[in-house]
Amino acid sequence: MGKYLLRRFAFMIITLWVIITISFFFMKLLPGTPFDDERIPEAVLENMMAQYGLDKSIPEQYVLYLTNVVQGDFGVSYRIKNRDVTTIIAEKFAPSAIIGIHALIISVPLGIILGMIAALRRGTAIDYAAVGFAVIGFAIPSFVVAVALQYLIAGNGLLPSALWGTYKHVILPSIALALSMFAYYARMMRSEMLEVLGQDYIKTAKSKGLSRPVIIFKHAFRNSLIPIITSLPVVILFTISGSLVIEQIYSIPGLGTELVKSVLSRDYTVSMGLTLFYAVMYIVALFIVDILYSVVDPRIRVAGGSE
Amino acid sequence: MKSRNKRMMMILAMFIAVMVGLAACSGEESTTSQPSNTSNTGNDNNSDEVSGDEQVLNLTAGEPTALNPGQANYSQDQLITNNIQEGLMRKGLDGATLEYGLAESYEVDGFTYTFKIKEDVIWSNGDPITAHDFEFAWKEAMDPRNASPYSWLFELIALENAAELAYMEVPEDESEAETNIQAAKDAVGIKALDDTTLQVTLTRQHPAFLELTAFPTFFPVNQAFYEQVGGLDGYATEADTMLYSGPFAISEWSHDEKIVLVKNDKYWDKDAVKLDKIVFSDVADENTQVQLYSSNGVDAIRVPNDYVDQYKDSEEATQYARIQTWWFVLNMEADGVEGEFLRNEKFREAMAIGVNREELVNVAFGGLHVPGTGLIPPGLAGATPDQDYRSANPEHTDFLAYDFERAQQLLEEAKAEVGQDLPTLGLSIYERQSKEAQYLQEQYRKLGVNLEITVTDSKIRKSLFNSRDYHIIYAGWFADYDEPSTYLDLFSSTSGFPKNGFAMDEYDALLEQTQNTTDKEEKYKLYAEMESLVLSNFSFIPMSHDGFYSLQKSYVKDVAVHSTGPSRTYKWAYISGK
Repeated sequence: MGKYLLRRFAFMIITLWVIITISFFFMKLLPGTPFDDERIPEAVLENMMAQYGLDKSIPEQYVLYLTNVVQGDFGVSYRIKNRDVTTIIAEKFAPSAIIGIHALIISVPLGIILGMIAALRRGTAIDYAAVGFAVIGFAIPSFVVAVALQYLIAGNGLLPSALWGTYKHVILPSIALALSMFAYYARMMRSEMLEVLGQDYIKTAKSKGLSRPVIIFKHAFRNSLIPIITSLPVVILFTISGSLVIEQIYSIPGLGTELVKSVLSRDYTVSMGLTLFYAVMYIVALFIVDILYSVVDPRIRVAGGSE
Repeated sequence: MKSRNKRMMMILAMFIAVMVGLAACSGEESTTSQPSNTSNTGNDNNSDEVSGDEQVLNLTAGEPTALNPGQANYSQDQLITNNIQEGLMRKGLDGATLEYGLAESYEVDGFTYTFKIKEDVIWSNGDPITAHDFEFAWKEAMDPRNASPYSWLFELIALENAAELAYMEVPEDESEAETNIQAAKDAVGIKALDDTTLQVTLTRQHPAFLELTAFPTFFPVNQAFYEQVGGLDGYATEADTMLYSGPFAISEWSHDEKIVLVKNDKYWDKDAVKLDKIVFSDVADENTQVQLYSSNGVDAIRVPNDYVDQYKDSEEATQYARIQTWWFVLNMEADGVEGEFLRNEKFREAMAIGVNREELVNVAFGGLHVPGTGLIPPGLAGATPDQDYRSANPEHTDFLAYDFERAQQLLEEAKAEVGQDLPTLGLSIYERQSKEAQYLQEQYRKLGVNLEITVTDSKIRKSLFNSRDYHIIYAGWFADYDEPSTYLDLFSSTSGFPKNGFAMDEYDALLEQTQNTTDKEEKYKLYAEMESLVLSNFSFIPMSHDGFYSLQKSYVKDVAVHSTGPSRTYKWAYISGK
């Protein structure tokens, strides 16, 4: 296992290096510079570029950037004077994570429960209602949900329609973010449960004369959870790292809003920092998923895992 | 089977623990920031305990990119700086009349201004505000190492030796740079003669000089404090790394979330300030802004274009002219057959007169804009106080008068001269211009000119301009100060602004002449001549002049609105009848 982890780790570093390199050069391919005021004289523009090291050749900039990143320095924002990228990401992560966690707490358990009920009441009105909900909930884009909630709930003065600061501000965006996940997990749980219920070992359990609750909770439920649990690391890390749409609509100072702003303003350092941050999150999540698979389900063994 | 399930349950339990743990941390975080804003954010349903009116104003503003006056660049930077700092002069409640700010009086001798600074004015930490603070701030803004985006203003007002300092190429060697810059700073025409006397030497009269002393780039900075917090890299990056000289001070700055201003008790004119608090929330999405306004979360917004029809008749709506002109820039340096047409004067004139601007503003802008009548928008100062420049020069509109038949005829002549068919021309626009661009596309199609619209952002636009790799760009210019030269300076061959091949010796000569003319009437005559030179070249074709609606709750009173420079002053504002 140790050898395996080491190999995975080395692979992660290489992946990150490739991502840094590709996104660095892509970013440089974008036309325009961070400084675009038509009135600024050339002489001043040159001094501005020099201030941020943008007067150097691109290979030089690349080496410099890579050296700094290795030392944990992601540079300063080009847009906001004197704000360093690490601070920006650290600050923006909290609001995104708060909303993401709330959305997860609402959606995952509820989705699992609804999916389970639908599976157990297969073919009844409850099942059709649950499936209908899951399809609609998954199909409606989150910005529609977000705006609808603003009109229906905030419009009546029940909750603030946007901004950030108090717990009341967390509720609507969390619900808007949760809805599609709720629907997704309901659908997933339903189909998994149905599949498990058809398995031989359930028949065995039934023929052994086990009671229905024991069959459902001890055998069917646990086994249906496997794909859900293995999908969770990626979903969790993505959910807590911010939604572009929801944050924009509710004016939440999170990572999603920051990413949009930084790309539009050619704030290279912030865009690069965020890209790296997302990449690390994703790689870590995949790594956890791999380990989970081998732990949760003995039928699946990652190559080398059992050496 | 059993052990596997146990393991699975353990993992599940771990996940739940982590989730709960994270939730707990974040819970803490949201409560710590709670006390400071429970009284002022969105939901004000429970604020009925106030007797009289709570003097709190809720507004929106983007995250400032810099609040160091010498670096303030974006409109939100200038708006906030204008309300937390003060210059020698300040624009008054009517929005335009200059009043004394930190200066008590000034004298003019030739091109030399001597300002007397008020005796008793102090910074928010109690230090006196002196003439030295101005000298330091101006020189810091001109220091080429600091690359201030507005350092060109010092050259514009013709401050003695400003260009030599601001546009200096910084030597690689640091000590050499220091020596050269110090020498250039010593030569610049600003000097504190003593604590309360500031001498500013210009090389010629600039009409906007006094107005610009009310512009952020010209605000004072306390050198000792500035250096103490780390100079350029440290000053004004947080609420406590700056000093305040204006009506308000920042009490809380949550980056990308909000900025809270409170009344500055050390301000010399604090009795005039009635608001206790202003909260600027960072709301990027326009729909969200409207949502917040209608749910009383904010007290004023600019009406987004999509909502104009819905709100323009509201009692809370006011229409403002933004001193801005939108024009087609025809690239006379384009390649190929397209370039041949764009260089053809008849073709350009056909483009100018082939479109009905009355209809354009009514159909595409819902009456928000006014038809383009010249380079200089209505509202910009004229030679006499009672008449603006635009209405004093009505004949310039003739260059743009709609004449479809003549346009068709000119187009045919152009085709004959070029000897080829007219290819489709590219038109580059901002996304928010799509409605008017589509209208214009249709109008020009009727004329026989096919345009292909491409949407670009400002960065791509800038690189198109620089590479000359475009046919037509739908661009505009917003006045920096209230005098025609804010537009007319642009078209000189040395300004670097025309990126379509426009350059005229005759124009340059006239511009120089205006700079040496002190007689106002004479100067404005020259301005009119200059404008008609550009208009009759038809490579900059004015389409419309900007306007916008603002919504402001009726209980908000006495907000000063400015058409140039920082957009608002809240010094005199108050809440009444909420």
